[in-house]
Order: sequence, then structure tokens, then C-alpha cells
Amino acid sequence: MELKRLSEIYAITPDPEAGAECDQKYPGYYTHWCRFMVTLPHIPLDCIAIVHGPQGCVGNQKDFLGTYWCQYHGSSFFYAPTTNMDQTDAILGAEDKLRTVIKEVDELYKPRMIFILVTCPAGIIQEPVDDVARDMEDKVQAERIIVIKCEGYTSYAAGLYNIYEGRLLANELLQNPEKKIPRSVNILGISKETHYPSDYLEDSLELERLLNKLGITVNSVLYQTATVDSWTRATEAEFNTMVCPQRAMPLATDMFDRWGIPHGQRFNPLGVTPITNWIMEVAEFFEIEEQAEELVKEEYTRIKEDWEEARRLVDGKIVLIDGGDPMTAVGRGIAWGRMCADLGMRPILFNLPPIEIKAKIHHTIFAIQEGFDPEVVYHDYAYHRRFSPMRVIEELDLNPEDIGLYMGDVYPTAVAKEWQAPVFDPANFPRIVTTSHCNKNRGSTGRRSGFTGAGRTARDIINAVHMAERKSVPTLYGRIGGL
Amino acid sequence: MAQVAAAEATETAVREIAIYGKGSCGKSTVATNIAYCFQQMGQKVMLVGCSPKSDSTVFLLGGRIPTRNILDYSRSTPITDANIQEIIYEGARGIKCVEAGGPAPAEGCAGRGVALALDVLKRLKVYRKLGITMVIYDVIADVVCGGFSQPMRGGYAREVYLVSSGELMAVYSANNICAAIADLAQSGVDVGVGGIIVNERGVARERDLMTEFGERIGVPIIGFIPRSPLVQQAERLGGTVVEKLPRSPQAQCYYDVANAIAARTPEDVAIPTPITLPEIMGLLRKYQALD
Ligand SMILES: Nc1ncnc2c1ncn2[C@@H]1O[C@H](COP(=O)(O)OP(=O)(O)OP(=O)(O)O)[C@@H](O)[C@H]1O
Ligand SMILES: [Mg+2]
Repeated sequence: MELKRLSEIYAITPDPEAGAECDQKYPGYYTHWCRFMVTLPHIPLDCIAIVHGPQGCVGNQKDFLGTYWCQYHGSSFFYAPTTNMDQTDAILGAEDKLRTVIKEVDELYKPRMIFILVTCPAGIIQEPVDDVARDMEDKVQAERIIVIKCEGYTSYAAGLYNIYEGRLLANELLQNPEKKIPRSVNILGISKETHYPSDYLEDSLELERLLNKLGITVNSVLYQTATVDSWTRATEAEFNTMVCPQRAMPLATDMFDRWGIPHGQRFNPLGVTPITNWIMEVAEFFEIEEQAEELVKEEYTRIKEDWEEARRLVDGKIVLIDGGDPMTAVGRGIAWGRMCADLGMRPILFNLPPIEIKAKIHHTIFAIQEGFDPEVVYHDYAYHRRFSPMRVIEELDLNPEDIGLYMGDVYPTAVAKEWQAPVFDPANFPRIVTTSHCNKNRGSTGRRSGFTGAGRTARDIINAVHMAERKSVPTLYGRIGGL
Repeated sequence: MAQVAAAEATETAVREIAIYGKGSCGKSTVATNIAYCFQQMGQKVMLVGCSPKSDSTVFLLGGRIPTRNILDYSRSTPITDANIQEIIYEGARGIKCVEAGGPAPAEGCAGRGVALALDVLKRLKVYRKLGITMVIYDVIADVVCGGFSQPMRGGYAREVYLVSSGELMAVYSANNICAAIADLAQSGVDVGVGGIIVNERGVARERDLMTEFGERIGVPIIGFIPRSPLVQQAERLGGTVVEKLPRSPQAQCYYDVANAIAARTPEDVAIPTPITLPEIMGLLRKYQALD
């Protein structure tokens, strides 16, 4: 285990599309996530996805969404009808079933479009799904039937799939603009949220609020929980802004190449400087810099007290940031690290698999371009392998006194040594939970975007530091500050 | 427990053989004819067609393709003791005939189907319940996937009989099947080749050629069946040669093959030593079969 700069890891890691070489070096990379699981949540909201495969695919998906995504702000009810392929269907084929389901779904839900997601069993026996789709298209009321082949077994490189999937949807759903809407932007690269008012504030709503104050309207938010209309009108915007660059870039480049719509370079606006940069970038495009500077000043004033108090508490200290799940580790790690750097801290990121750093090319490249090149714990480990923060502290020989903050999930790291004493007790580390997966936090944006998010994070940090000052008796689960 | 053990001990051993060979080389013709011979010789025979074409048993059933088969049937109704009879047909001389069935052409996965169908027969202990003493699996064409190697792989038939003519592609195919069997045996599967049944195409020096081929791959020749219009004549009558034209010399050939198989035991199988394609070509050239 050693510390390397993000850029260095990017340079020395093999291409994720190298196949066998990567699989040997980072076993599990091609299988950790399933294509289908990543595809289903991104089907437009007014469409229906028929899963051509066994019910288990959807069952698993609901489980996954229930634990990972829905605890966050996103849609709490994912539903997808299936053809419920069973063993006999895998032998005799289930073309008729598919036709029946298409008809039923069309009548029952009247979806704008029907998507057919092909999972493993249908893929293995090469069901004639394309033919069925073509044939059924004029027998249903839905405008189109679109087939997405997302069998889990097709060589699947986690981070890269975000790009493939984005391109696929862009290709199918973006259209020539009928008009241009002056002073409008799209927010690209939003997932795991609804962009509807709910109990919890969405990142995109916070960004929209700020943009509206500048007289700029948000045209489309893409692409999770977007509707078909969000896609078709997307090309009417004047400018594209980004949140998650991995999901945004395929759309942004597509819209630039085909329609010349310019896009920004700023991403994941977490922390005061990043959100300022993000707003100023839009302001520069519309030539309203002065007005934007006013807005930034006004917004900062609102959170200034907390933000500066937090900075006072953690300035000059180390923040240990646990990437958590290997697939989402990189984008989140970078965004949180940059916010902590904004508070004067020295971020050390761990549990970011090198192969995922390489695969999450847009996160990595944009961060480096912006001059944010944090230290990352480097290790040749299997894709799913995770280190406990305690091990990181020990192996890197860090002085616990220097660690001002720990960000990450608690549960995977709270280990009891022979069931006697917790080896890592987060109780006495100021710690906030960053995993966006269980990050319901009233009064805050889910990923802590914008000024509201920055202010809330500052408050979390203050709370966490004070809770840790109690130096309580170690417990296995510790306490989570800031929740 | 003791009772179960006793019951199993009194059970007569079922001999299970599988017929493999290139597509259209005459597997079903051989299988139906020898099934008839065995039944005549006092065995209780079941012929299991392992092909989605469901045409293996047709000439034991008066020339009609059975309308019900295991896979089609199990699609709507789970197969149990109570209804298994529905898909077991009684053919000429009381031979039990069953077809695995399978998907329509260009759909589904027939290989997986074979595995499932055989599993149904095993699970319901059909052979024991019907007092079958001889099971013949007529397996589709070549070994093309795991499913089609199921009769030997799944512990069903440890005795494989190859049907081949002396034509290049038939020999090549038989040799490939031997490679598969050698592979399976190597990995611990209890399987081997009982012998080659030469279903002649009438190419030059076919018998010499096949005899040498058998020696080269270490597999005995079980018998020679000449090419004969009597096969088609019997088919037109809706049956096998041995049934419809019992006194013909062609019928005698099938009886000879059946007798040769009967004289062997499941222990007599050989693990073949497949040869290379150039070697096969050399062999055919030697007997002017490539001219
Ligand atoms: N000895 C023979 N003489 C003349 N015709 C024969 C002979 N053996 C088989 N045939 C004919 O060859 C054709 C193919 O035979 P058969 O159906 O038995 O082959 P198969 O190996 O079972 O084919 P498949 O691989 O398609 O199941 C049939 O029309 C049959 O009448
Ligand atoms: Mg046949």
C-alpha cells in the first residue's frame, strides 16, 4: 500500500478494455455489476421496460435498488414486467411470450415507448428480439419499441458501461431541435434522483434554483428519471452543464458533434469553490458574470458562518475518504476530496480501484484538468477488495492526531477483533457518512451539491468534530456525526 | 433402508446405449431396426429420441411423428408419475418410444432440452417402472454442445455406438465424437465406445477403409449394413426393415448387429484414440475413397 497521485495511477493502469489482462490483475472487474442492473434505472420515466428474462433479474434489481439507490432520494418503486422466462422457455424459446407481454403492457400502461431489456437466458439462446420488436412496432400504440441487449455475461467493464449506455440512449432518443430556447441549459449526468420536489432536496433542484436566480431556465435534466420529452427537447438548450461527467460527457459530446451545442468543463459542484466555478462557467457563456458574482456572494453569506467554522476545525488536517463501492468510488471520492481541499484539508482517498480510476475517465481527466490531483492509496488488489480505514492508517503510518475527518460508510469497516474489542472505532474520529446510497439528509441536497449542500456538509463536519471530542467508550458501530 | 436396498438388488440391470454419428448417416434407421431386433430377442426395449426433430421413433410408430413429447408436454403440464404414460408411445412389438422434443428450428436451445428430458425419465424412474431392460438413445447428429453429450455425460449411457459410412465427413465426424469421448473419459466420466456400425454408402473398399479406421482409433467394428433400397421400401410401408421385410438379407444384417451388441457387455467399451484430419485424409486416399 502506498500513496500515489491520481494522475500517476491513471497513467500506469492498463486500459480497462484490455480484457484478460485486466481480469487477471483486477479479478471481478468485468462481473461486479450487471449491465441490466445499470440499464433499468435509466429507462425514461414515461416508458416501460420489459425484461425479457426470468423474474429473478427484476427481483434482484429491486433488491439492489432498494438498498443502494432508494434510500437515497431516488424513485422508491422500481417496477418492470418480465416475460418470466423459465427453464422450458430457455429450451423452446419464448418469442410468443414476449409478443404477449408487449401487447399486454401496451394496453395496460399505455407507455410512450416500450423498451425490451434482454437478460442472460434470452441472450444465450439468441431470442429473435429485434425481429419481434420490428414486427410489433406497428401493432402497438407505443411510439417505438427499442431493444437493449444488456446481458450480464457480455464482457462488462463497470465504469465504461456508463459511457456505452449514455451513447446508446443519446443515439436512440435525441432529436433535431425544433427551436432554440434562449437562456436555457441542460443539466447532464444526473442519476439516482427524481428532480421532483420531495421530502429531500435533489441536487438538480438546488442547481436549478441557483440558475433561475440568474434568469436561466433548466431545459432538461438527464438522464435518470427523465421522460422521453426531456430527451427530445434537450437539443433546444443553448448550453450543457455537467454533474457526473461520466454520464454527462457521452451526451454532451454527442450534442456538440451533431448540433454544435457547447458544454462546460465544470462538474460535481460540491463545495464553495466548485459551485462558484460551476456557476461562473454558465455565467461566462451567457455573459452575465457580474450578476453571477452577486449571486455567489449572496449565497455564500447564507452559509458563511458554518463554512468558516468548519474550516477552522479541520484546516491543515488529513481527511480520509473511503470510496466505498468500487464502481461509484471514483466520482464520489474525487468530488468529496475536492470539497475537503476547499476547506483546507489534505484529502487521502482509499478504496478507489485503479482500474475504475482508469475507466471513470471523465471524472479523472476533468479533476486533473482542474488542477485537483489528490493522493490515492494505491494497491494491486482485486476489484471488490476493500481496506479498512484502520489498515490504511497503520500501513501508511499516519498519525491519528493528524486526521481531522473520516468520510465513508461505517458498516463494512467496523470489525471486532476476536469479538472482544472493536479494532476500529469510528466514535472517536470525526466522521460523516458520504455514501450517497444511504444519504437521506433533511435540508441537504443528496450529494451536497450547491451552496445548500456545502453549508450542510460544513454543519455535518462541525457536529462530527464535536461528537468525537467526547472521546466516548469505543463501540462496534460508533456514531455517525452529521446525520 | 434395508427394504429399499433389497428392492434395488432384485431390479434387473438396464442396459443403456447411445447412438452417435454425423447427421443423416443412418442413426435413426439403425436405432429403430436394432430396437426391433432386441425386442424380438426377448428384451424390453425403450427408444429415446434425443432430437428436436422428434423423428427418431417414427418408423416404430407406423410412420407417424409422435404428437406429444417430453418438452412440449412439460411446457403446459408438469410431468409426473400420473401422466408420464401420455408421452410414452407403444410402438411395433410393444417397444416403448419416447421423444425428447425441443424448440422449433432457429429458436431456443435444444441441447439444454435433451438434458431436461433425460432428467425427467431418470427422476420418474421410468425404466424401472416399465421393466425396461434395454434403452437406446438416438442422439441428434454430431456432438455439438453440452446438451447433446448429455446421454453419455450425465451417467445415462456408458456405451456409445458410432454410426458411420466410409465417406470423408462421416469418418471425420465419428473421429470428432471419439475425441469428445476421450476427453470426457479423461475427465473422469464413465463412458467409452462399444463399437462402430458401418452404414455403407457404397464407396470403394468401404469395409477395408472402416476396418483400418477402427483399428487406428482403437474401436471394434460391430457390423456392416449395406446400402439398400429395402430401407426406403420398408419406410414406405411405415416401418423398419426388420419388421416389414423380415426375411430379407438386409434384415439379417440388423440382427447381426443386434447380436454383436448383445454379445458384448457395458464393460467392453474402449476409450478411443482419435486421429488427425490429415491422417483421415491419408486413410481415405489409401483406399481411393477420395477419388
Ligand atoms: N442402409 C441404408 N440404405 C439405404 N438408405 C438408408 C440406409 N440407412 C439410412 N438410409 C436412409 O438415409 C436417410 C437418413 O437416415 P436416418 O434418418 O436414419 O439418419 P439419421 O442419422 O438418423 O439422421 P439425423 O441426423 O437427421 O437424425 C433416411 O432417409 C434413410 O431412409
Ligand atoms: Mg435421426
